[in-house]
Amino acid sequence: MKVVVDLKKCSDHGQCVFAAPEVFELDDRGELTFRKLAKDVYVTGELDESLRDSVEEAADICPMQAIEIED
Amino acid sequence: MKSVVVVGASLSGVRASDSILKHNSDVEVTLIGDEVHHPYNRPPLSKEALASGSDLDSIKLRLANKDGRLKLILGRSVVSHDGESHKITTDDGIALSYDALVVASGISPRRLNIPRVDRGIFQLRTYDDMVALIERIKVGEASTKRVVVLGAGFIGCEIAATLTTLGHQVTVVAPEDAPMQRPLGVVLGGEIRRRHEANGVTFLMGQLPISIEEAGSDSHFGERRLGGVTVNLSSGSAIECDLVIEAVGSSPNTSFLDSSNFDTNDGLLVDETLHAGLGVFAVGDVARYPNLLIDGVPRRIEHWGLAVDSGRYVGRSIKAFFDGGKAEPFTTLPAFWSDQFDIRLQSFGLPGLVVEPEAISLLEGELSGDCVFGYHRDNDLVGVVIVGMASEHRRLKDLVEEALSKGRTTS
Repeated sequence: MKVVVDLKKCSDHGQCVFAAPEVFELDDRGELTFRKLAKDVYVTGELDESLRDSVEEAADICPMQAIEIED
Repeated sequence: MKSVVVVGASLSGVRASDSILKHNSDVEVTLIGDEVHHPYNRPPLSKEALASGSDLDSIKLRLANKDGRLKLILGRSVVSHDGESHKITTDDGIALSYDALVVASGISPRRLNIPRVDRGIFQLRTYDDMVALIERIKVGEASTKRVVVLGAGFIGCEIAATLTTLGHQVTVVAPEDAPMQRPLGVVLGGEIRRRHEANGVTFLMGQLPISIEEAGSDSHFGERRLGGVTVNLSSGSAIECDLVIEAVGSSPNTSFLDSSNFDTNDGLLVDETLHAGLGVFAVGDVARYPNLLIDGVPRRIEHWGLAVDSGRYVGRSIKAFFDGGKAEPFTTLPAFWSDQFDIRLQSFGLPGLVVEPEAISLLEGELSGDCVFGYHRDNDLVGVVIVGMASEHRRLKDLVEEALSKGRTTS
């Protein structure tokens, strides 16, 4: 399982951080830390299956619906 | 296979459908929506999508169809319900039986009961509403349109901010003293007004529209524009504009339950597991439910996040119901956000419970900058509204959750 974040859609609401703090983080300026690693789309490495519930919640609760889960 | 029917294919219905399929392997779901479009996300309609005129594809909601157990019916509304025989009927006369029913029918925008012309007045709830609004804004020679927004709630303020950013001339008219007075309070609401005004929005607060008529050719606002309308106000003044947007609140869609014996006084009354009885559940805007984390008083909460959280929850509640038991109560902390110009509001808890100005106080930061307001009931914190400060959200959410748990044990 990988998580794909559309950084153009994302507007740093940070709701994903509540749902899956193991995966998502905001920096001191309130921006998603993935922004430092990619411009348009960020794809995580392979995530442990134990994170599925929290990652699904993050995808559901994203106000911009910018998070996809890729199996 | 058991059958669950979900009435309403917007956010709460879609998330309910996902969670029912996920938690119940022996269940088929029929999801019925009255719009013809694939389910989509509404918040962008007053913000990003309105600004960019984006197509439906960019705001579509993901919808799981686990093992092909989902049937999606679009463009049909449910018109009646028989609780005794566990059936609903759609507007094309199809009767569907269910083992459990989820009411996710949401809300409809209210219309003011005032004399009005039959054109030039818009509402914004659906994608089609947004398309119609964008079309109207494009029509005519002047690229800058004069827009009157009736209502200074979240939707009204978001539309005002978006259209002002696009270069239109926007006047907001509302009866309260400050925009978003409930839930922000007059001090923070007043500050948000100041920031809107700095960006070019005009506010006429403490006023009600009394009629909307054709703009007269003797207008002192300059040359008459084709299709203009005039909004007459309770103060005796009048505003001529190219279009009016009515954002004056909403009412829950429960008319199809009228023949049932349920309490639909203000949405469908359900218990702490979102169950109304007889296998009928409610999620999202339409659910009037007691949150045991707060005070157990049933209330409707029209927050986007509540639609997600209650939808995600209800699959477990239905599983427990099928198993002859009861799920753990639904006690998720309510939360909302709103983006207006560069203002980002985030709330946790229920600030809207607090009306008395003295029970609302600045907890952190400066009113003119990033700040946190606290909302208290009997000296207990029941909610916060945060302006900016994204990196502090987690701490403030925990603060509210702790205060609510503490308030509950001491009361």
